[in-house]
Amino acid sequence: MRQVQITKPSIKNLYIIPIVLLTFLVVLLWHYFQIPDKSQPEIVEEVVTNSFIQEPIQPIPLINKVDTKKAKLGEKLFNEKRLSHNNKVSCATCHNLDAAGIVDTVEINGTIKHVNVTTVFNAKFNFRLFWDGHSSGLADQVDKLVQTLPALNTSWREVIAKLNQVPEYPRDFDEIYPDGITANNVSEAIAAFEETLITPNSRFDKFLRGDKNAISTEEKAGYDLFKSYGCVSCHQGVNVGGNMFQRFGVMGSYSFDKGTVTKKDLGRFNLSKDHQDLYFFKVPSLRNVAVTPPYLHDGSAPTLEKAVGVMAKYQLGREIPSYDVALVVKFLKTLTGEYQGKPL
Amino acid sequence: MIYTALKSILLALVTVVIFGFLLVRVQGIDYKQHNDFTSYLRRVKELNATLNQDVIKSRYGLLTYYDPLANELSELNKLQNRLGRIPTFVEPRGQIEIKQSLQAQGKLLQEKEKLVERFKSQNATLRNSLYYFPQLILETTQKATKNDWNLEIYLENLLRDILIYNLTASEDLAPKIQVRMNSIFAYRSQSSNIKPDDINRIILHGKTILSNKPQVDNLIQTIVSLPTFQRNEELYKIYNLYYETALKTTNAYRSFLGIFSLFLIASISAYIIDKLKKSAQVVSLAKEKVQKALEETQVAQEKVEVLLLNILPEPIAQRLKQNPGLIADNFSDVTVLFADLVGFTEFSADMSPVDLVELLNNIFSVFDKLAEKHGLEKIKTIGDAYMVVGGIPVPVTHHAEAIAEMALDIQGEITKFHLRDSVTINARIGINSGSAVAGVIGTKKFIYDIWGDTVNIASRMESQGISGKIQVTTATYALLKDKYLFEERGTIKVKGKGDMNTYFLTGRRMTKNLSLEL
Repeated sequence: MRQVQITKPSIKNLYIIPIVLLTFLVVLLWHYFQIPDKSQPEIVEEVVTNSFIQEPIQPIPLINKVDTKKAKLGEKLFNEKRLSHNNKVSCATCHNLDAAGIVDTVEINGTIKHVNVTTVFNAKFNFRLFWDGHSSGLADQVDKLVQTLPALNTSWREVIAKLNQVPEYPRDFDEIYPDGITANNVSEAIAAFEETLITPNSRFDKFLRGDKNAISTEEKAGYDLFKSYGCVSCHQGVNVGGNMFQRFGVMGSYSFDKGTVTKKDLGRFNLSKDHQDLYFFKVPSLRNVAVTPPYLHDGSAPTLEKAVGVMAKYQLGREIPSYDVALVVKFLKTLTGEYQGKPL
Repeated sequence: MIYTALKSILLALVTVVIFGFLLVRVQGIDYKQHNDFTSYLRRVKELNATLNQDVIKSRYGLLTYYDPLANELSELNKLQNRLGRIPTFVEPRGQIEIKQSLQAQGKLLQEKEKLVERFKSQNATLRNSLYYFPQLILETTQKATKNDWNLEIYLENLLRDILIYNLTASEDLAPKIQVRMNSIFAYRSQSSNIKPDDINRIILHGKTILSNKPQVDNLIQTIVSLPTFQRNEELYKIYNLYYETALKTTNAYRSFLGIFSLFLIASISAYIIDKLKKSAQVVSLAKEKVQKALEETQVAQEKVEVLLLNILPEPIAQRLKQNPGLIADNFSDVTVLFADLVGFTEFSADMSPVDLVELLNNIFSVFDKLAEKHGLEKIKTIGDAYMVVGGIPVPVTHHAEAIAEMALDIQGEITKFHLRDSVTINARIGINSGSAVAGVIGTKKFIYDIWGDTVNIASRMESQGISGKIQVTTATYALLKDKYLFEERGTIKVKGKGDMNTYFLTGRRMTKNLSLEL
């Protein structure tokens, strides 16, 4: 009897040991079995830089690595009319990818309006977006447009609510983003798609890459003039512009000559309120310039010849001979590239 | 019971909580965060250096496009955002300090970005005029006539000076260029072919160069001398300080954890050892008890055995122990002796029963010794009669001789009692030899007994014998006649047997004995 009395409680108390050991084990293993962060995968963008080309203009890289999943979703959203209040306007309404990423006219609320939109092609190579550069990148631009563009006349709250009603969107978003449909994620997906919109293989790029016969002697002469007239001091880099701000009217006042000055003409001043920024605009890209009229920030130049003339007058302080203008225009036409293997 | 269980659970819970707390603390530093943060800081430093380089390169035409500058700035902005995710292991005070330092760096970055933008614009304007200037001079001089040779020289000198001016960081040439431009301006209306507009354009571009070049150089100076490195270094120092603090704290917790684990293991071990000890004690205690009980049993058994041996011959006792039950063995040659104390009955009337029994005990004890001496088996006493047998339980050849010796010794011993106690008792002895069955029967109060005709006749030999004489049958006589002396009694009537010839054993055959002994 005595034996039983002694051994029973001792066995009963021994359960502490397995509990403590189990706790050790659980706590130690817990660290290793933590669910890995479902953080967003970084967009791998590997721009293959070509062997150094000693020219102010650089070719568009042939390899463009983007997050294809996001880009695919972005493409759907780019064509999604639910992004507008009346469900009639999408990004693609004004940025028609079949027409160099622009349209001339658009029907909004039954009225046909002329618009001067900037092409989405090669937008990723621009260091800022909009003429006054008030947007720092593609995603930011989507965000700003959804909230402010009169043609869309909507808000994120409305857009997200509408997207959530379409079963495929919550599903698609959940696959990529842990937090589902948000303003940031919509913007990012559209931006990812826009990053695929590049137009490599223009004749001029081929020339830059060493194919001396890709452009004619006249076009080459046009390029030489483009350089010697100093145009290239602003229109340089991969996007032949799009990487700096410059005063419109270095050698004369465009607005003064125009007579009426609108707010739009003030450029970056609207943003910084700094008088040094008066009439400063983002230098536009000249890629595909031949197929994306009209020109200038106010769309006042319907033809390249006119635009070249205006630029010569206000940036160079002179009128250049029409044969020189013609050569420069010929050069500019070599900047038209290909999208999905087809010329724009 | 419930109280102790609760106490144990509470103890275990406290242990687990302390252990968990220490473990979390030990893993306090997320090294991925640390690596990211420091690599971002390094990259910021690197990018700032590259950006400065690229600015200078752009100024001197080594870099003819601004993509790298724009990309570097964009990456710097991205990094600045990423640095905003300060590693979580940094203590709150450090978070604030790092945030402040980050803000200073961010502000500086904004300033730098603004300056770089300004540089790009100014530099583009400068380069625009510089690119165009040779073309402009060429166009103008081509228009010049013979009379304009003076202007031509001026223009060529101006171009040369402007180009040299552009290549130097100093402003030494600026006044000279100004003078040359003034001279050219004065020449404005003197040429026939060169229009004032052409001259104006040259002056305009010259002035653009003159005003922009120092501005661009100043911008470069400002950009390069921005304390980005110092801010970066400062940020790194602050971060490193708190990182090391966190590291120290973690190490301290690691030590605590080590000590705590050791303590825990030691406690558990001690607990287990204690339990084992206690149970070992219990076991040994129980063992001792069992041992004691076993020993007691053994002692008791031994006692029983001794007792058993007293009433049973040893071989029989052994057999009985191994196989309880009936024992009945046939013996072909045994000699049975009955001795009755004659005169004892009369004698006993004068004595108290206790004294009587004591006397009887004395006498029979002597007989027992004799029986032992001669290797005989005492069977029992019946009142004042004594019964002893030779040849059982182990058959022997000299059973008759042993009985004869026993009978003679009894007579001798009785005589001794005569002398000592002055009692007048005699022994009447009867002996017979033959076959008999010996064994143990019954289950209680059993004794080793012997049955058979031989026994009955031996009894008759005694009962029909004469006091002081040893009466034997013919069978016994036949066995002993060579060694012992006999006196023939003649034929007597034996109850249940008829007439029997009997003899009296009177003594040993001395000569024979002598010869035997010799």
